[in-house]
Amino acid sequence: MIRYALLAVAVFLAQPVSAAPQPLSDADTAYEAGHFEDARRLWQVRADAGDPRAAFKLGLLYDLGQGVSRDPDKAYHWYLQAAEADDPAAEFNVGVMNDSGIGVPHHPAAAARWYARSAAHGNMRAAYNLGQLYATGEGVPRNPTAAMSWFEAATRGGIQAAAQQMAELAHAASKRHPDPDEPFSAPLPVLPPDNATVGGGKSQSLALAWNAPPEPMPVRYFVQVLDLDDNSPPTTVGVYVDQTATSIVLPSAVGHFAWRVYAVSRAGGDYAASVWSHFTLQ
Amino acid sequence: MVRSTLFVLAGLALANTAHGQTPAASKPPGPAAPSSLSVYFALGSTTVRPQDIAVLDHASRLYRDGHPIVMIVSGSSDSTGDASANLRLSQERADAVVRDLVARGIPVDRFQVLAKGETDLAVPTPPRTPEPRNRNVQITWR
Repeated sequence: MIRYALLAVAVFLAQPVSAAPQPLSDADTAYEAGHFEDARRLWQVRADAGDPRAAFKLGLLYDLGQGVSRDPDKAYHWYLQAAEADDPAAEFNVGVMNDSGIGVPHHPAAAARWYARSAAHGNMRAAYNLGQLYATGEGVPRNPTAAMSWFEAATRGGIQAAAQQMAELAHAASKRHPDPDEPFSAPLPVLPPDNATVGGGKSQSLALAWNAPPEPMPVRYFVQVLDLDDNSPPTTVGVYVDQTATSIVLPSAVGHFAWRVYAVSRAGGDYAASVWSHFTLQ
Repeated sequence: MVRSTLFVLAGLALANTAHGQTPAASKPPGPAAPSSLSVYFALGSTTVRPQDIAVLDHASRLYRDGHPIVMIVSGSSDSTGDASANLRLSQERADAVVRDLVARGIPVDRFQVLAKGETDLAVPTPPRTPEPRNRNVQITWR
């Protein structure tokens, strides 16, 4: 008890600019011991200094009302700060709160974007939830094939219920027949938003996501990224993916980029390309 | 009547039996965050019905990551049959729901399973009364 009290006093007296942040493990230890107020002070200092993991933990405290009054708005604020720094759990929680209208108005399209981002960073519950949104058309176009691809990823990631969802969708799909005369529809880039400035100069990795309308036959997606600051000729990154989001490694950690995504028939030949979307990485 | 209530923490003895139909309606997934959700069962059954899968998906979609909150899964039966068998039946119903929530990625140690048998009926009835609304599992949070 005394140890945590001393830690709390030390943090209270410290100036954020000059103080060496306390190790996060001290806050974790305080939390595990049930000293929520001490944990909050320690996480607050680090979150204010931009530590995404501390921001996530602070969000949890406000979400649960541990050491503070329960405050979904503040929980969302701190989850969002961590999510914008690519913390997959925080990205997922921001998605859940947009999905359920907790701490923020119900916004299924935003939920879908955050689920896509979290899934691109490896969170399989996000993949499962995004599959549900595509299956029902909440916040994204209703697209059983896209739903299936997300459930497939979730199944591989250990979410057993996703296999049941796949079986149901496969049963429904068996009753439909591809129409070779129907034109392909272009995907819509949604993440990052067009002309957004993203990143903190710390990573060359970025999550990209697009809304996928239903297509007349099964497709894969081809993502093309151009480095607009490299003119001789522009560096191109291209990858094929099955789902509607991916995390891509860029040629540099700063600069101006353009990207687009193609829906490409798995049978070959037919495709539709999105418009170009632009972002600045800094 | 058995008045005892059985608490079990995440120790799952999972069982499935033949399933049937009950008239109880399920809530579809939606934006609102409810304080509880209910899943209903056919007479003598411990199998979650296909129409209640959406309820479990709804519950899992409310559960934030890293959220060390306890999800309480409380099983009940109606008053038909033997009281001790009903206690066991309610336990198996709760286990079935926990199993399906774990299959949606919720950590198993986040559950508290409560078997109420034919005690604390949602709809009070005399003994040996079949009542679909009492054959349920309720999911709550704290």
